[in-house]
Amino acid sequence: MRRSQRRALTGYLFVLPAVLLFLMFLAIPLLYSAGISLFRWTGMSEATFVGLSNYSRLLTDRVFWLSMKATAVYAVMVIPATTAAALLAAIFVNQGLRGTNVFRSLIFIPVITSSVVIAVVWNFIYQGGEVGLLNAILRLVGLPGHIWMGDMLTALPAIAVIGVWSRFGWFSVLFLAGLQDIPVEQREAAEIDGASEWQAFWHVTLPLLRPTIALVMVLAAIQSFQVFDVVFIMTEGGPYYSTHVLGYYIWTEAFRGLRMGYASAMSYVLFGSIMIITFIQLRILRPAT
Amino acid sequence: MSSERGNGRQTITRRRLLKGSAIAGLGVVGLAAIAGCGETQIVEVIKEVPVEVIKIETVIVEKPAVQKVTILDWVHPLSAEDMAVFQPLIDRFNRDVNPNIEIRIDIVPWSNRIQKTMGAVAAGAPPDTAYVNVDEFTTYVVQDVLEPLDEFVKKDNVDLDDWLPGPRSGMDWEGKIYELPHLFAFRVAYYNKTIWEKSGLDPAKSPTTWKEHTEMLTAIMAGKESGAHDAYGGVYAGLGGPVSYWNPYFYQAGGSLLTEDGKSGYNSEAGLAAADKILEVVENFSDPAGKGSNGNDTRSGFGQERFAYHINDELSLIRLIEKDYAGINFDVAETMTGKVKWTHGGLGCKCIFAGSKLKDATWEWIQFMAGEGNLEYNIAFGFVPPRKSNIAKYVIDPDVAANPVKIRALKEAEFGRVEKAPGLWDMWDVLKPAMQAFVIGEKTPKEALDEAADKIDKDIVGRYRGATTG
Repeated sequence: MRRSQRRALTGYLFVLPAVLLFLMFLAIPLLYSAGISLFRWTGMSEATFVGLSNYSRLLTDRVFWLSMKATAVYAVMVIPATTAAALLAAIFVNQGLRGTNVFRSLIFIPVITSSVVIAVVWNFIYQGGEVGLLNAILRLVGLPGHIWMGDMLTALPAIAVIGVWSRFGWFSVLFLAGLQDIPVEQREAAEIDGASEWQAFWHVTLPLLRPTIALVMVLAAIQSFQVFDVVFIMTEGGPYYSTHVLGYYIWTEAFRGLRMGYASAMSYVLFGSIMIITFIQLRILRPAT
Repeated sequence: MSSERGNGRQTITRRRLLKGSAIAGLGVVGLAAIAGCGETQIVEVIKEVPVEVIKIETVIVEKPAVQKVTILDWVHPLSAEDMAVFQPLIDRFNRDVNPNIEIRIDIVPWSNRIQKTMGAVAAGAPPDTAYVNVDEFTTYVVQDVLEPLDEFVKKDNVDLDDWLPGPRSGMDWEGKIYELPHLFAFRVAYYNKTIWEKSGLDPAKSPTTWKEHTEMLTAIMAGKESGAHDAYGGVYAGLGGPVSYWNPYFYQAGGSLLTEDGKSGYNSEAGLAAADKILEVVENFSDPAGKGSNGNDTRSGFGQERFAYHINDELSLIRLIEKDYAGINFDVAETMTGKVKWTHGGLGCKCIFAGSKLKDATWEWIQFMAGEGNLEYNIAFGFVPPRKSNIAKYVIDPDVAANPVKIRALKEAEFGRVEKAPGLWDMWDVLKPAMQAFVIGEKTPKEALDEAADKIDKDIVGRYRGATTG
């Protein structure tokens, strides 16, 4: 074996574990679930080929469309709010003020906290009546309390607030890296030219952060479309489908309804939706040439 | 490659030598393995031969091996230290029933038990037995995942009438027996006697009918308004499940999960009566904040005296109240009668998976768990044995006998009934939003229940027979 061949072989051996893991846990299951979406299968019985009928059924499934609507509304609330909160937090941290390290740790705590714990804590915050923390605060300032999770209008925004709170810390780290990557000279040049703080941020910093904003928004969109755990623990889709997001519907169809084929078809629609939205985001946010 | 040469003689190459050695080695290992299996006796046989030639031959005689087998039992956590309960039971089983059956207990979390079962069945490697709830077994049965137990029951002459009526009805589906109940988690209603008294009610009497229920809860609300106490009459968790807040009223109203023609019974006359009763409790007797509750705070709410009458909870609530809210004067209420006297009867059962290769051994274990070991198991975990013969022994257990509330609760066991149908969980998932719709006023009860029943008829009831999607 020639030396170059040996080197190539060594390289292949190094990547082999990663490739095997990728195949076993991603590529093969992905293809397998694509196959399942063409079958009627409970997960235990014999599978029956049904062609595209799982997909055509989606068109007339009212609960599917309610779930799509809830997911889209959730994403519309969470993506911009998370991005804005993360950017603000990163700008604050980037100032290097006193107490920054504490603040940085605080905003990152939700990121590393288990979603079950998050749901339990927020359940207490949102509890209606006398017990809930939010209502207690509202009463202190003379405002009436509300049954946050029992109202179709407020349940989904309440879940969205949790989504923003639990993720913006992670995205702020990305923004911080982006901010620190901006050459100091460019801001200094703007200042020398007489730009105010705001003008320098708006015309220099923000345009240079565009790739990071694109990345954060894409990641936030993907995570928003995959929301499941908080809904599962707090509302189970209620009241009356108002928080019935697609991830939760896929889970109930797969593991409670035992409709593996239908759940797989929905997963592919979700996959497609995420791809389209990501594509649109990247088109809009691509750096100006 | 062969090493024969032209002259017919075999020459031995290195490869041939290695191959021969390997075969010989395997043979030796194989013989050793055979010798190691079971008990082997070396018998010296002296054959009748002429005296001058006495020949001694050594013959290896195989004695039937008594092989140990291991069966796998999937259970779900019932306490912090489940193995502390199981190990003595396993030891007793090995001592009294069969020393050659090893029991391996796998504690599977409740939350992913269906997924895990499905995965194991799909992979062709299910456990031999598992803890199966009565509300899930029919879904397995219609997919041929469970083994019928009729032959075993007949062979061992198991007295099925020894099980209480609810547990007895939870054994079979379409004429065949599939599980032996070993744990009865029936639910009862609870009431707070102090609040009862403060509201001018007789603390020795709980409602026995819906009419009395309305009257008593009205008296409690009057007591709250007059400042005699600060508790609501009842409770309702708007995001809670049908088992807690629908089933008692629906079945007490004479409801049936499926009608005689196999359709959903949720939008029947009984369903509408149940919906009206729920609305009465929500609008007149409960904390409005309950509409946003998923029910996880209901037990603590009863302990904190936030409401006086709790329609439907397991007996484990007794232990919780006594432990965390000592001093609360509460008791088990009588099961109410609408048209029927009914309370929800949850069951933990043992079945045999069709894919098990050790069905006889598994049967011995599950029979033990539903029989000799059953009393010990239920006392340890705080549940109730489902067999009449064991209940008689259960009530004289010192821990049970010393608890008057628990003894009172046992009187309601005979009214604990089960609901069963393939896709039952799926039906609950359809009913739940319907309940939410009429409670928050998004739809009338009739609209909401008609919609739920239609979806169940279309997507669930018929799907196990010729459905085209899913």
